[in-house]
Amino acid sequence: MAGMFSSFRDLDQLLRGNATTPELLGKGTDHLKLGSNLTVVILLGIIYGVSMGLFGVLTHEPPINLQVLSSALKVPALFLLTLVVTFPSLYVFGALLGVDLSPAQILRALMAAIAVNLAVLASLAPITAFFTLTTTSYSFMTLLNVAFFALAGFVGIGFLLTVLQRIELARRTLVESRHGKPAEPKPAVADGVGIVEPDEVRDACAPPPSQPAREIGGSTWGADRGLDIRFPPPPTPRELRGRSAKRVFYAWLMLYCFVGAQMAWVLRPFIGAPGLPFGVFREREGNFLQSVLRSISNLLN
Amino acid sequence: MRNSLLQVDDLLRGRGRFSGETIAAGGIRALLIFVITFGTFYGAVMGTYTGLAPDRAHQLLYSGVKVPLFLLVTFALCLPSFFVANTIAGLRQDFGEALQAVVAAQACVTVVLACLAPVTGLLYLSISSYRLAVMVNGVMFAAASFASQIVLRRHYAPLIRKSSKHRFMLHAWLVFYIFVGIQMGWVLRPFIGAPGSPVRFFRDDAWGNAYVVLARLILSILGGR
Repeated sequence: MAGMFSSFRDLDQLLRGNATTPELLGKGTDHLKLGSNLTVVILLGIIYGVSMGLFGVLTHEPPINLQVLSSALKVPALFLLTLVVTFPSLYVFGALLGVDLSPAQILRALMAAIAVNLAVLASLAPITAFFTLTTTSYSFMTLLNVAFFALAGFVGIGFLLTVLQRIELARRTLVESRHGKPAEPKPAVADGVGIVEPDEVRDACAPPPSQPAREIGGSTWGADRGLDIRFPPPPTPRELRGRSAKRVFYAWLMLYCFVGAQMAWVLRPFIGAPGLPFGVFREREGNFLQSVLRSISNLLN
Repeated sequence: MRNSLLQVDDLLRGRGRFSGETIAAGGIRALLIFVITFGTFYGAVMGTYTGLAPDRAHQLLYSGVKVPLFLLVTFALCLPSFFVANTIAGLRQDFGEALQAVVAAQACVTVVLACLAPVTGLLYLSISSYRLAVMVNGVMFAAASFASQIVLRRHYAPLIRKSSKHRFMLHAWLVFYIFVGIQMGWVLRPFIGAPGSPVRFFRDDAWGNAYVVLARLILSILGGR
C-alpha cells in the first residue's frame, strides 16, 4: 500500500515536471523508476477500463457485468502490449542511426510517457462514465473513447519528445564542457545517398566553434539558451544525422500509433456492442480505421 | 547470450569489431550466426499465419529454415562473380573488407526483421486475408533492406575513400543480389503457407521463373485478358 502511494507521489512529480528538469535528465533517466510507473499504468488503466465497461452494465438487458472486469484488464494490457511490440524496433532503428541511449534508458522514458498518458486518460474517466449514464448510442461512445485515447496519447507523446530533447541537449552541453572548447567536426564522406561519418557519435557530438546556440533540425532545441539570431551555417554531418534520427523517431511514433490502434482492435470489445453476447475477444475481421469510419457514418445517419 | 546481444548492438551502432574500419577476427563467422539466428526467428514468426493450427506446426520449421536459406544461398550464388569482378578491377587486396561489408548488411537485414517480428505477429492477429499477410511481409522485408543500407554504406565508406571503383562494385553487387534474390524468393515459396493448401517445403509448381511470370502478368493486363 505504501508502495502504491509512493508510486502516485512519483507520478505527481512527473506531471508537475519536477522529474523532467534538464538538470535531472542530464544525469540520465535512472530517476524515472520503471516499477513505480508500471504500477501507476496498471492501476490507472484499470480505472479507465471500468468506466469503459460500464456501458455493458447500464445499456444491456440483462447487464453484462463481466464486461467491466474484461475492460479493466484490457486497458492496461493494451498499453503494455503495444510497448512490447514496438520497443524492439525503436531500439534497433535508434541504434542504427546513432541515437546514443541504452535500451534501459529508452524503456524508462517510454514507461514514464505511458504513465503520463494514462494519468490524462484516467482523469477523463468520470466524463466517460457520465456519458455512459446518459447515452444509449454505441457509436457515440465508441467515438468518444477514440477521441479520449487520442487526446491522452498526444499529451504522452509531447511528454516523451520533451524528455528526449532535454536528454540530447544535456549531453551536448556535457560534451562541450568536458572538451573545454567544442570539438572540430571530423571529415565526412558524401557517398551519394547520405553522409557517412567514420567516427563515433560521441567524438563529433559538439557543434563547431562560433555557433554555440545553433538549433538542430530547424526545431527549437536550445531555444532556452538565449536569443541567438543569426543566419544558420550549413549543417554539420552530426546535425544531418540528428535530423535523420529525428525523422526515424517520428516514423516510429507513427508505427506506435498504428500498432496501438491495431492492438486495440485485436483486444476488442472494450465497450460491448448492443445486441452481441459477451465475449472476451471477437473474430478476426476488418481494421481499426474502417470501424471508426463506420461509427461516424452510423452517428450521422 | 548477453555477450552476443552486445555484439548485435556493436553491429547496429558501428562500434568495436563491427566499426567497418578493419576486418575483425572471426567477424564474418559471428555475422553468419546472426543471419541464421535472427533469420530463423523471423521465419518462424512468418509461418505463424497458418502454422499454429494443430497439424501445421511444421510450417513454422519450414518458414524458419527458409529465411536464412534465402539470404545465404542468394549470397553464395552472387559471391563468385563478386570476387572475380573485384579481382579484375584490381581491388583484390580489399576483398576481405568488402566481403565483411556485404555479410554485415545481411546480418542487419535479419536483425531488423527480428525487431519487426512482433508487429508482424500482431498484424496476423487482426487480418484475415492471405494476400494482406503476404503484403505485410513484403513491407517488413523492404524496411529491413532499406535499413541494412546504413550498415552496408558504413562499411563501404572507408573502401570508397581508398578507391572510387568500390562504389561501382557496391552498386553492381546490389543489382545482382536483388536480381537473384527475387528469383530465389520465387523458388523458395511458400514462405507463409496459404491456408487451405497442404504444408510443403516447396510448392509443386515452384520451379518457374519469376520474371517470366511477371512479364506474362504485365502482358495479360495490357492485353486486357
